[in-house]
Order: sequence, then C-alpha cells, then structure tokens
Amino acid sequence: MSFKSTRRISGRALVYVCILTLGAGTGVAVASLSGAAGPRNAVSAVTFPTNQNGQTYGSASKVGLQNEPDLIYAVATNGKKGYIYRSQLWAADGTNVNSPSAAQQYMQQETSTTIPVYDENGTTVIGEFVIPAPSSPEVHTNPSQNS
Amino acid sequence: MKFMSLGASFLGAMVLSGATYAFAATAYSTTKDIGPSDGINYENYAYIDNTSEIAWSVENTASGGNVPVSYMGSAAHLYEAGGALCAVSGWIYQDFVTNTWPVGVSAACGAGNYYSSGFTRAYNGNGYDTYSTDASGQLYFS
Repeated sequence: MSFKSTRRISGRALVYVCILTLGAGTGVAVASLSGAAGPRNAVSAVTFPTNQNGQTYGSASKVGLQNEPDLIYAVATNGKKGYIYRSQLWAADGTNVNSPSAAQQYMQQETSTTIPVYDENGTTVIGEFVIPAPSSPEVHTNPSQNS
Repeated sequence: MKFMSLGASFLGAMVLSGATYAFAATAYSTTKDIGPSDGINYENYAYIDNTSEIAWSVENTASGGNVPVSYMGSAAHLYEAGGALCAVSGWIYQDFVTNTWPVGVSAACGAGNYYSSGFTRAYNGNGYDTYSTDASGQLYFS
C-alpha cells in the first residue's frame, strides 16, 4: 500500500469519524430538546430516605403528587438548597382546592406566600421559598407574550 | 488536515459536553393522554424555554372542545438539574372557557441547567383528578 493510498484511506476514515460524531452529537441534541426524564407516574414507587424525625425527604421531581416526600428538596431565595414541607406547599399553592367555585375564590388571592426552607431534619431554617399569588408577575398564562 | 482534526475535536467535545446546549431553545416533554374526568379526555405536557426562562405546564382537551371555567388547572414547577425545586406557579385555574390551559413560572435561581415538570388537573364532577406531566428535557439558563 502506497503512502498516497494510506493518506486517502486515513482521510476517508476521518470523514467517517466526523459523520459518526456529528450523528452522535445530533442525537444528543435531539435527546436534549425532546427527551423526557421518564414518566413521572411510572417511577412513583421511589423510596425516600427518612430523617431523624421519621420524615421522608428528597426531590419531588420523579414522583406523582400523592407520592411526594414529607420534605421536598428546594432552592431557597438566598440560593441555599434545603427542604420545604409538602404540607406547607400544598396549603399555599391551591392543591387543596376541590371545586370550580373554590378555584375561582382561590384565584382572587392577591398575596404571595413565603414558607421556610429547612435543613434535611426539618427543624433548622436556612432560607425562604415563595409561592406566588395567581396574579404575580412570575406566573404566566399566555406563552405568546413571554417567548 | 489540522483543520479537520480541530473540527473532529470540536464535534467530539460537543458529544462529551453532555445533553444541554447554551443556545436559545425550547425543550418539551412527551405528551400524555389523561382522563377521562367527567367524561372528558385530556392531554398534558411540560416544556421549558431558555429565552424567556419560563417553565410551562399545559393541559388540553383531547377533542379540542371547550370546558367550563375552572374545569382545568395547571401548576408549573421549575427544577434545577440536580432535582431541587426552584420555583412553582401554584395551581392556576382557567378563568375563561377554553380548550387549552398553559401555565408558566419564571424565577431567578442562577445560571445552570433546568427542566420543567408540572401537574395538571381536571374537574370530575366531585373534585379534581390530578396528573403529573412528564419532565421536559434540560436547557441552560444564563
């Protein structure tokens, strides 16, 4: 095999590598833009660790509403990461609404609610977490006005 | 040849850098069929937009027909890549007759990768049936 043909084969090999790499990169991009982290209901059997007070704690992102841990992993307004009580979140965010008339009344609420962010034991406060009022500027209902 | 090597290195770096990119984009979850609630079938999904930096949770009627006020509710949840809840919209119920109910939440939790994963609910005549959306892909917020 001559040096020239070796170079030609090497060049072709490099082109193939580039094509494969580009293909893989595209695949990653597609996965990034359309992929899901998995059906949340399908992984609702996640078991959470328990703190010294017998409360479960962890991320609520992989579970259904009814399977959320007692203490939900969250970011405080000061940037610290800790846990908010599920019960306090639900009491403030409208989860307990059970009829259209109650929903309409809840939607009139004009003040945001601030709840504490704790360490994993649920006792030491390390920050705050805000549940916005339905009319807060952080809440959007018209995608065409925000993108 | 040197140029080709640089190109290959760049592409390789793109692959090795993980599944997120810093350009303007929108990442969607899969769409789930949910219901029926009070005889009505729905679907839901979540998405995130890194231009507006808003996480959305969307509920639609499957048929495209309208439902009465407050039959649908959506709650958007914005998560940072490690699974910490960054922001919630709270439950927002439709205040007009419609067939689609998108609700978004924006927050400043710092630069990093984020995804949207929310909840939707539908009135069943005696309360609300609540469904989680699948999680969107992750995008970088600056």
